[in-house]
Amino acid sequence: MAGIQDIRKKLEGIDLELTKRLIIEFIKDYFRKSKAKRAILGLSGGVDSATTLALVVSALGSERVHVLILPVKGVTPEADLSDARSLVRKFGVSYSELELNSILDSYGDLMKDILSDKVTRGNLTARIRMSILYAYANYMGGLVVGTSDKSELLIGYYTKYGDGGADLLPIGDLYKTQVRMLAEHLGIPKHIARKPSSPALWQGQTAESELGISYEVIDVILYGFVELGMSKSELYGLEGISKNSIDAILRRVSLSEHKRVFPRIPKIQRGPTVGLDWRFPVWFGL
Amino acid sequence: MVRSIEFRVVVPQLEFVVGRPLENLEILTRAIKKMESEVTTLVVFPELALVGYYTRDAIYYMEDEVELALEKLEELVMSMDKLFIGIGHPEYTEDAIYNSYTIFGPKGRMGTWRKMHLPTFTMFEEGLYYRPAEHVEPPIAIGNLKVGVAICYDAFFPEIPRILRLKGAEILLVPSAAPIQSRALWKNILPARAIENGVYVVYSNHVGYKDAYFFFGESRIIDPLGNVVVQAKFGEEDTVEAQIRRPSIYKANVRWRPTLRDLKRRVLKQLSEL
Repeated sequence: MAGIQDIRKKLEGIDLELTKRLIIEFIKDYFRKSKAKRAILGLSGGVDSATTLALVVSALGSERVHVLILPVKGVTPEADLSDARSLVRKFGVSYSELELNSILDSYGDLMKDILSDKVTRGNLTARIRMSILYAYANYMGGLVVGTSDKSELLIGYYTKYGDGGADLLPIGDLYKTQVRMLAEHLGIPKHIARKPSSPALWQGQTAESELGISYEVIDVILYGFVELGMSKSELYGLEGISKNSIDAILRRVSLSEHKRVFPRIPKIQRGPTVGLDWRFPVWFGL
Repeated sequence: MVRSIEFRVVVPQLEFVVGRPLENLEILTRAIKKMESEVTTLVVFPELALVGYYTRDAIYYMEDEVELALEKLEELVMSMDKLFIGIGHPEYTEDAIYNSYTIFGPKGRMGTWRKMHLPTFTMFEEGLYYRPAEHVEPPIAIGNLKVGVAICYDAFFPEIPRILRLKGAEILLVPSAAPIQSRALWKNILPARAIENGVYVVYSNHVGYKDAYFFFGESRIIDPLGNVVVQAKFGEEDTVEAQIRRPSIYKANVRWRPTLRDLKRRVLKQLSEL
């Protein structure tokens, strides 16, 4: 049976050069077939969006990428903001920086009590960002390139229709650990590649404190479960990871399934139902 | 001693369009027109090339176009000389669809093979759409060589190439639609099938993205001792070819690694009794 070290070795054994190529080819292919002109990408200054930016620029060229930096004053860490600005310069892409405070204040006027809840307000912030990204995408004939990674997608650690709202997710099949490796491989500055992960939806929020488990451990559990097909009892046998951590992560996977599928539709017709037994490839031309 | 007649095998590794048989017909026609030669030439296109493989439910909506494209291909090949082409396509019958592969020659349709083992796991859904073949179609003669077909996953079952070999196949075509996740497996499987049967293996794969799946190409021709004679590029369009000479098949089988001579038929009997 695989131990933690074996799992970590496999997780980290990913062929970075091949991965880079597969993702770049995917972005090229998707933009060619969809005939989209521009990639619209929200940049936070974190490792996921920095890595996605590097890949999108490699695939399409800097002139076809437009970045949005969408901080909330008083919430977004200054360090992230300056990292985002330096990445934009590094990759030579056009960008717009829009502070979201006035929009959030307007929402606050409409529903004060509701937005006093930090999670509700945080998710709304993510959805405001999404709506701005799509406005730019519409205007520029672009597609919104999302930045979620596989770890986040599996445990549901993102906002449904917020940062989860995108046309394609180039790094969506890479675990956080692998994204950090790929970031360094792509020449992203080390302090960004290794920066502690945070949605920064409220002040002081970090992923690891909120999840209660580090991504190092989360990724071992997820990799064992998803890529190696380990059962719950096999995972429990891993020395150095508590049963509680395993249960907590698998519970997150299960409870967030609704975020990974099309909104459920009660099946009425015999013919295929969207999101259920409707099976068509993207790019099928009747 | 066997006569040496020139026999050329070409594998055009092209990007086919998902769900558009008539667009693929144009791609095929352009490729085929370039293939005419003084020498007997077999052109090996991949599995379900005519529909771009990853059709999912769209397979139910393209019967007419598939039939039309196959007729046009047959006409085209019949108008040419010494040219044989193998093409993967859905075969629509009254009560089922098969994942099939047809070889056309100057006299028209020469043979059709149906896939027996339909991968239905991870990304593969073939069992939802196709009916498995009932039996293994025998090889056909092209020039002085016999050619058999094991479609993609069928080559993972040594019994299929074995039956074809025992019925005389000297060249085994393995048309395929393999995503990158299968790359390492093919590297091992293909030379094994060549060596254990003393045959040339011609592997023809798709290339590029179909939806979000990447097909890795690396189409190749492998000699009866398992050596890669020629291999197409990874992940991009490319065309490779090789001359296949009967004496090299003969020598491999008679002298260098006579697996077929040494195969004990009682093993097959025992296998059939399991």
